[in-house]
Amino acid sequence: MTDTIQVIGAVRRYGGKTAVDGVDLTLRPGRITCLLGPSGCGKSTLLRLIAGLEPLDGGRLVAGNQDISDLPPELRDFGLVFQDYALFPHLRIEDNVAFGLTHLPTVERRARVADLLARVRLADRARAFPGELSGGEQQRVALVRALARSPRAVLLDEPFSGLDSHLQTEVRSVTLDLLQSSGATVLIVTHDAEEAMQMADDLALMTEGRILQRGTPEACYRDPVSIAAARLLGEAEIIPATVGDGMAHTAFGNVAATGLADGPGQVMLRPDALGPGTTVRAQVSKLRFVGQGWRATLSVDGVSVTARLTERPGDTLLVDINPEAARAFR
Amino acid sequence: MGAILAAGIALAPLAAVVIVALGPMVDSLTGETFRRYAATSATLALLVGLGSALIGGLAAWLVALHDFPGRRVFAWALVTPLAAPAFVLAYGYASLFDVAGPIRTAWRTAFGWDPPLEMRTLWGAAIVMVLAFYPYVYLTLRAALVNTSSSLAEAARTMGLSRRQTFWRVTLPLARPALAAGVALAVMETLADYGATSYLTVQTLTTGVVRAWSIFYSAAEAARLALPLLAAAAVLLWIERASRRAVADSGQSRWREVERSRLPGFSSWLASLFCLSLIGLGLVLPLGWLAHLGWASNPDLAQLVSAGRNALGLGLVAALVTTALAALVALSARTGRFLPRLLSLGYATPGAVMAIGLLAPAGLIWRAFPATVSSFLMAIILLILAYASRLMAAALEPIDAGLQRISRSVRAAARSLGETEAGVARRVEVPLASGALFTAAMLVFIDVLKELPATMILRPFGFDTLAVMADHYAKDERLGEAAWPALSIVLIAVPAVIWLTRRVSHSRPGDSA
Repeated sequence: MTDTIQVIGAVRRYGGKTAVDGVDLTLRPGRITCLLGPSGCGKSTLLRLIAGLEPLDGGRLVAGNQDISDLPPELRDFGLVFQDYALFPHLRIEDNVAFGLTHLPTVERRARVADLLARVRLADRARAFPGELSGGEQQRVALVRALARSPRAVLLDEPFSGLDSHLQTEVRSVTLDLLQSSGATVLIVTHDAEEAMQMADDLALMTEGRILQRGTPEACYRDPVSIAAARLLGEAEIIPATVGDGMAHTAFGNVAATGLADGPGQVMLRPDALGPGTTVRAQVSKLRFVGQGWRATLSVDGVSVTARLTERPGDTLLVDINPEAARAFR
Repeated sequence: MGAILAAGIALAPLAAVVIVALGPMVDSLTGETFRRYAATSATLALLVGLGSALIGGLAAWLVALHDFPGRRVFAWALVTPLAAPAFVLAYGYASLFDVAGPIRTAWRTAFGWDPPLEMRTLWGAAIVMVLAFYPYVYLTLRAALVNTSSSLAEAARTMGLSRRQTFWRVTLPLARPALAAGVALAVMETLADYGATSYLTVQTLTTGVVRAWSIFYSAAEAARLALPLLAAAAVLLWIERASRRAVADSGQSRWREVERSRLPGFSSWLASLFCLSLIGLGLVLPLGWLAHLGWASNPDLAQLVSAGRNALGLGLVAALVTTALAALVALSARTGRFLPRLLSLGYATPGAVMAIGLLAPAGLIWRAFPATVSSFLMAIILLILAYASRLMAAALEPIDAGLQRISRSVRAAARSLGETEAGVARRVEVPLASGALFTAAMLVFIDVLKELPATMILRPFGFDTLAVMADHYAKDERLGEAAWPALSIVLIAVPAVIWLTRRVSHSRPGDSA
C-alpha cells in the first residue's frame, strides 16, 4: 500500500504568479515528511497538486513506477486531511469514515469503521454528527477517514492549526502514534517550525514556490543552507561579519566559515548562541524574565543581538559564541 | 454539458427576438406608435422606481434601524404584497375608484366633488405598481441595513458624528447599492407587467408585444416592440449586479447586530401606522374589496377547479424542470461567473418577450417535424421552456448560495475518498444544498402561479390557468367572477412568500425579525 511518491519539477502558475516553481520532493514509505514554509509560499498548493486537486503546469508525479500526473483525484489513492477537516456535515461520523469504502461489503465496512473509530477513542461518537464534536474530535475523525481506505499516502494540510494551543500537543501525539502505526507514507504541510520538528522524519523547507533545503529536522536546524532556511526553523539573529582565513569575524567573536570566500559576510545566531564566556564584553539592556530564563539585548560596538540567558546578567557580560548555534554565510 | 443545454434553453429565445426584430418590415407598426409606447413605458418605470424607492426605502429604514409597536410582525408582513400579482391590485383599485365605486361615491357624498384620482391612467397604474413592487426595495435595503456591522456606525460615533450624521455619512452610503438593486428589480417588474397595465388601459411596450401577437399574429412587430425592453433589461440587470458587487465588497470583518433606536411615543405610532397602511393598501383593501365582489357573484366552480389544477400542475412541473436546470448550471459553472450572468438576462426579460422569442425557434421545429408531437404537448413544452428560461436565474441564486456555503475542502475530501465529480454532486453537494433547492423550486412555483403574458401567448387552446381566467373575466368587467381565481392565487402564494422571507432572513446573520 505504501509507495515512494516522487514530485519531479512540479510547476503551478496563477496568472503571472508562479506559486510552485520547479519543486522536487520525495516522500518515502513509512516516513513522515513535513513541508515547512511561511504562509503563501506555495506549500498548500504543492499538496493540492500532489492530491490532484490542481492541475500541474509542468513537471511530473510518480507513485511507485506509475506516472499519476494526469489521474483525477479520485483515482490517485491519497488520503487527505484538511485544515478545516472538511467533514461532511450531513453525514454521521460513521458515515463520514465509511464514505470512501463503498467497494467493501456492508459487514466488512462496518467492522472497519468501528475498528478505526475505536483506535482514536471515538467509538461512542459514531452516531453523532460532525457539528456535535469538539475540534480535537473532528480532527481525529478526519484523520481516520483519510486512513480508512489504506491509501498509498496521507497528506495533511495544516492539520493542527484550527485547534486551541493547549490541545495541539495532545492531538499531535495521538496523530503521530496513529500515522506511525499505520506505516503510511505521510506528508504534513505546516507553517509551525516546532510542529514540523516534532512530527517529521524528513523535513523540506519551502519559500516562494521553491524548496530551500531537505534533510532531517536536526540537520536542517543545525546546518541551514541559507539565512532564509535558518529563519524558517526558529528565531535567528543576523549580524555582519568579515570572512577571512576560514573564519567569520564578528563583534561577538569568530565563527567557522569553511569554504566561504574572503570578504564581507553574515553570521546567523540562534537565541542560545551567546552565553557567558571569556571573549567579548557586551552591554546588557532590555532585560526581561521569560520563564525558562532571561532575554536580553547584548550590544558590542553598535551591533545588537537578542539572546536567551539562563542566569540573570549584570549591566555588562563577558560572552562567547556557541559554535553549535551559529553559522556563517556570504 | 448540462450547463450548455441549460444556457441554450435560456438564451435561444433572446437571440430569436433580436433576429426576428431585425428581419424584414412587413408589419404596420408606425414609428409614432412605437415612440408613444416607449415613452409610456419609460415614464411608468420612472414613477414606479421613484415611488418604490421612497416607500420601500422608508419602510426598510424604519424596520431595520428603529423599534416601534409591531416592528417584528411588520418585518415579514411588509413582504406579503409580493404574493399578489399586480393585476389583482389593479382589479381592486380600478373597481374601488370606479365612477360607481365605493370610494368615489363616498367622497362625492362627503365633499360634493369627485376625488382627483383616476385609476385608468398612467398615474393610477404607477400607484398600483408601487404598492405591488415596493417589497423588492424593502427586502434588499433592509437586508443591507441589518447586515451593516454596527461597529462601523460605532466607529463613526467615536469620531464625533451624531446619530443623524452617522446615518447620512456612513449607513446610507453603505446601503446605497442595495437601494439601487431593489429599485432595479422593481423597474424590471414594471416593464415586464402586462396584466395590470392592460387592465388599466395603459399602452406600454409590453402590452404592445402581447397585442401584436394575440390580435395581429405578427411576431415581427412583437419582436420589434420587445427590442427596447430587452435593452432596458440588460441595463437594469447591469445596475443590479454592479450594486450587488458593491454590497458584497463592503468588507465587514466582524459582524455585530445593529443597534435599533427606540422611536419616541408619537413617532413610533406614526411608524406603525405607515407600515400598517402599506399592508392595508397593498393587500388588505384591494383584496378585501375583491373578496366582497366575489362573494356577491356566482362563480363557475368547475372552471375554477380546472384552472387551479392547470396552474398548480404547470407550476409544479416548471419548478422541477427549472430547478433541475439551474442546479446543473450551478454545479458545473461554479468556477465561472459568465454563464450565470447570461442567464440573469432571461430573468430581466419580460415574459411576453420571452414567449415571442420562443415562438420563432418553435415554428422552425414545427415545420421540420410537423407530426411528431401533438400541438397541445408542444404548447405545454414551450410554456415550460419559457418559464425555465425566464426563471432559471432566480432559481440559480439560492442554489448557488447554498453550494457556496459548502467549503472547497469538503468537495476535495470527497474526491480524495474516491468519488467522481458526479458522485460528489450526488452524495455531498445535492444533499447539502437540498434546502436551497427547495427554496429555488418554491420561488419558481410562485412566479409561475402569478405569470400572465407568457402564458397568454403560449398556452394551448382552451388551457386556462388561474391568472388567465382572472384576466378573461376582468376584461369582461365581471370582477366578481375574476375575484375567485385572483384570490386563489394570493391564498396559495401568501404562505409560500412568508415562508420564503423568513427562511431567507434566517440565513442572514442576526436578522432575527
